[in-house]
Amino acid sequence: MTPLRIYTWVLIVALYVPIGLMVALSFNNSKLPYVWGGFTLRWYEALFGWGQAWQALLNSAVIALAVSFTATLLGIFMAYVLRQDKYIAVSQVAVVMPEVSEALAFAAVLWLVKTYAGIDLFGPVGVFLAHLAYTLPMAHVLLAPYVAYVSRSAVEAARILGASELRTMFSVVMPILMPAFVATFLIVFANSFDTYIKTAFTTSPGFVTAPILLWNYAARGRGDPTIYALATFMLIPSLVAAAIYFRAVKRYG
Amino acid sequence: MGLSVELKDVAVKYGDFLALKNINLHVEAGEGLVLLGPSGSGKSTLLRAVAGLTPVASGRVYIGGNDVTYLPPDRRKISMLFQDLALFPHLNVFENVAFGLRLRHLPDEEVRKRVVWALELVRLDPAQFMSRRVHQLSGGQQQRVALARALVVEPEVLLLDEPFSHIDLDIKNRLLGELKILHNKLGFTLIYVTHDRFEAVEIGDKVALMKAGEIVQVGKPVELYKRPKNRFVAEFFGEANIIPASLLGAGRGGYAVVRPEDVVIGNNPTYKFRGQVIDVTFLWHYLKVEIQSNGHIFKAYLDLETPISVGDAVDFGFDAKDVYLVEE
Repeated sequence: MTPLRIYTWVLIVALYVPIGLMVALSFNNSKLPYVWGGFTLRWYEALFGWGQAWQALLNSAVIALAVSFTATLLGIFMAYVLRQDKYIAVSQVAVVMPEVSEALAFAAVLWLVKTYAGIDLFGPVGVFLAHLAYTLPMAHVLLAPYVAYVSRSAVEAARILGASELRTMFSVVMPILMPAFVATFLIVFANSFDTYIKTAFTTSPGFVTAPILLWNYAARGRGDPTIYALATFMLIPSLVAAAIYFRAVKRYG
Repeated sequence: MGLSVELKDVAVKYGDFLALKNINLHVEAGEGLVLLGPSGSGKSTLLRAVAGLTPVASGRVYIGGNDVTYLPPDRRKISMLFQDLALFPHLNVFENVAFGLRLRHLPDEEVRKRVVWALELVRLDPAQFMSRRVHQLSGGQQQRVALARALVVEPEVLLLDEPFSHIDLDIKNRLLGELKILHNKLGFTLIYVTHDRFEAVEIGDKVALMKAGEIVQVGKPVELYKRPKNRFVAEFFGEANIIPASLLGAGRGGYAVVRPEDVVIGNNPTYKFRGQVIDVTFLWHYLKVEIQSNGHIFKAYLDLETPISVGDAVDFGFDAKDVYLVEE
């Protein structure tokens, strides 16, 4: 093996070791992370009886599904409309903005709306909007190269044959873009599902998502390994998403 | 069937670049016109202006006598075949061809009937090909599907943008022949863009030769060949010997155009030269011979049996009737 190859594999292993460690701790029959007390499922039993955790997971999943659906749909429109526009960067540059600044800005807007219009959007709506604002540029960046790949002539052929712009979008552009659509949906889902910062700034005490819950326990050091069980459980949607993604990639070549 | 196409003072701009300058062109109903020219000459832009895909900066476009300058493409009674075919990769052959019919809200039975008709027109067995995916077809078969999709809506004008530029010569020639038959049979007006003069004469009743956004000369192929307007036409539309006219007699200006098949060996022609043979190529039905003389290389197409070989010193020339003079 060449040094570069060794380096690459060391890096990959290093990425997965902490995750493996966490999974191991979720089966550790000890409250102390540095003591191995043997194999147990008791933390999972505790997890299944922990109603707050399930509510948080459900909240995260609902928000992530709504966000990924909306962001993918709007992203594809954006990518199509801006495909030859020199101002495309205005949308795409938002991807590299500091997440925490964006979150703070969003919270400020929600405060203004609350103060001046009397509408309190903190909670699910605020979280949804904040996640959407954060993932939409991401969806745009992911989709733009694929939209450019749809040949201009296929669109023109549809127009000549009598399809309206909207019809062309739904009957020609979107089906061709299906693989990119799936990939974007999954990546946005993953991002929305586990973002802490965006949610922390825009939610209300009554609306807790899984990352918020984990943070509340882990950061304050009051969690027992049940939170490892929860975090391990949260790996499942990611693995499913990855499986779907690779299947789609393989199928569409 | 078939509608006339007319362009009056049409100009097209891409930003500051004038892609078409003051184009005037008339295509008769049912006629086959080829837009010929080197790349960047504006021939595709002209086609797109007729289709309504590229807006004109000034001037008017008429189809069947109606001003369509500001009409969208689908209201111009045209169909178009694209260079990359523009087939829809997510649809099968049937749905590709049916696309335009579905938008016209025809009943399913009628759609089916017409798709079968169109596939048979382009010699694709409907039973065998209808449910195939586009990427399962060969290049030639894809061409046929694209042609069927364009013809199924029964266009009055068929526009083709270098549709056969990426396929084998054999298949190209067969498709060109079939296109010609369909053109005669269905009677649509045909405008065909190419940079290949062999394709141009195969398909065109008339040829418009373009350069730098302008039509240099338009006419029947034989007119462009025998009476080229200038050196560019003479060179682009067939092989030509182009020499300063002063070589044929003192005081003459401009250039003389002589086609290689009019160059003869011997002492009889009006204008006589002597030179040395520098190349002889066998080309099935003639010999292509290059002769160096007076600082020029003359091309001559000679009979296969002509006893000639590289290095020979020969007398050659051409008759006055075979010389065509151009100004520039």
